[in-house]
Amino acid sequence: LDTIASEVVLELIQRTLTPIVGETMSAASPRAISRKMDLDRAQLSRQQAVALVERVCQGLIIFVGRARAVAAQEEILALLPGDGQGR
Amino acid sequence: MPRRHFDRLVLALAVSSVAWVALAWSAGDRMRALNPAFVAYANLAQVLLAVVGTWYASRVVRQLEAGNLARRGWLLVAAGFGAFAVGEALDAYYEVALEVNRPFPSWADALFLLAYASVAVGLTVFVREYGRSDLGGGELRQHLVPTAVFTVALAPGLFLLLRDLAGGSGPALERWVSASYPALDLLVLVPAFVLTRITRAFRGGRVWSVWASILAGFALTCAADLIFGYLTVRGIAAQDVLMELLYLLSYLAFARGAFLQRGLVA
Repeated sequence: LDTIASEVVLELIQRTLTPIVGETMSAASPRAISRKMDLDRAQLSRQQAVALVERVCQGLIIFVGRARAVAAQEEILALLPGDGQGR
Repeated sequence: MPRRHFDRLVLALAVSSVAWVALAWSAGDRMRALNPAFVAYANLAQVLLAVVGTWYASRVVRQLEAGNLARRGWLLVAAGFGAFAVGEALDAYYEVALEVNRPFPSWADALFLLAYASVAVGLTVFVREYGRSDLGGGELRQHLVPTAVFTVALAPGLFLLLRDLAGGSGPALERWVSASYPALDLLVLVPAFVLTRITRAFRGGRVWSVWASILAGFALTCAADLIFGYLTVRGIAAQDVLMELLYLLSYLAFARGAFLQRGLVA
C-alpha cells in the first residue's frame, strides 16, 4: 500500500496556508486536527492524507469562504506526492 | 484596487490627519470649535470611510456562500457600518453644511447606538463560530477566565463614568443617551476581546490583518467615546479635535479591515 510521510503532508499544508492563517496556525492546527482524526503517525495512506487536507481546509471555510478554501485544498492536493513519492 | 495602493491611501490619510491634529495641539488649538477646517475634513472623511467600510463588508456578505456561518456576522457588521455611515452623514450635515453642533440627542445618536448593538451581536457571532471551528482552537472555555478578568477590570471606570453621565443635571433623555455610549462600548469590547484572543493565533496571515484592523477600529472608537463621555461630564462635549481624530482613524481601520476581508473571499 502506498503511503506518504505525514511530515510531508503537514509541511505542504503549512506552506500553502501560512499566507492566509499565519505560520503559528498553519503549523499547529493541522497537527491538532490530525490528532483528533487519529492520524498522528509517521506514514499516512493517500486516502488519509486527502482526508486530513480536506478537514483542515473545511475549517478554513468560515474565515475565507468556500471558494478560497477549496482553492487552497486543490493546491495542496495537487502537490501531494504521487505513487512511490514521499515515503 | 490593489492592496498596496489601498494601504498607501490609508497610511497617507492617517499620517496627514495625525499631523493636522498635532499641529493644532502645538498651536494650543485643541478645541475643534476653533478649527472649522479640521471639523469639515474630519466629518467628510468619516462619512466617506464609513461608506467604504459598508461597501466592502456588503461585498463580503455577497461573496460568502449561503450557509457559511460567518455570513451572518458579516451581515451584522455591514449593517452596523451602514448605520455609522448614515449617522455620520447626519452629523456632517449639521456641522459642515449648517455649521452648528448637531442637536443632542438626535437621530444620529439613534443610528450610532443601533450600529453598536448590531456590531456587538455580529462580533458575538464571530466569537461563537470562529471559537468552535477547528482552526479557531475549538474551545471557547479557554477564553472564559481572561474575559471575566478583562470585564471586571473595566467595570469600576465604566461604573464611575456611567454614574456621572446618568446622574448629571441635563434632561433625562440626554443623560441616558450619553450613558448608553460607554455601556455599548463594553458590549462591543467584550466580544472584541475574545475575538482578539482567537485571531491572534493567526498573526502573520491575512486573516489576522483583517481582524487586527477591525478590532483596532473598535478600540479607537471606544477611546473616542470615553473622551466624549468625559467631556460630556465636564459640559464641553463635541468640542475636541482628538475625539474627531480617533473616530476618523477608527473608520479608517474598519474600512481597511472590510477591504482586506473582501480580498480574502474574492
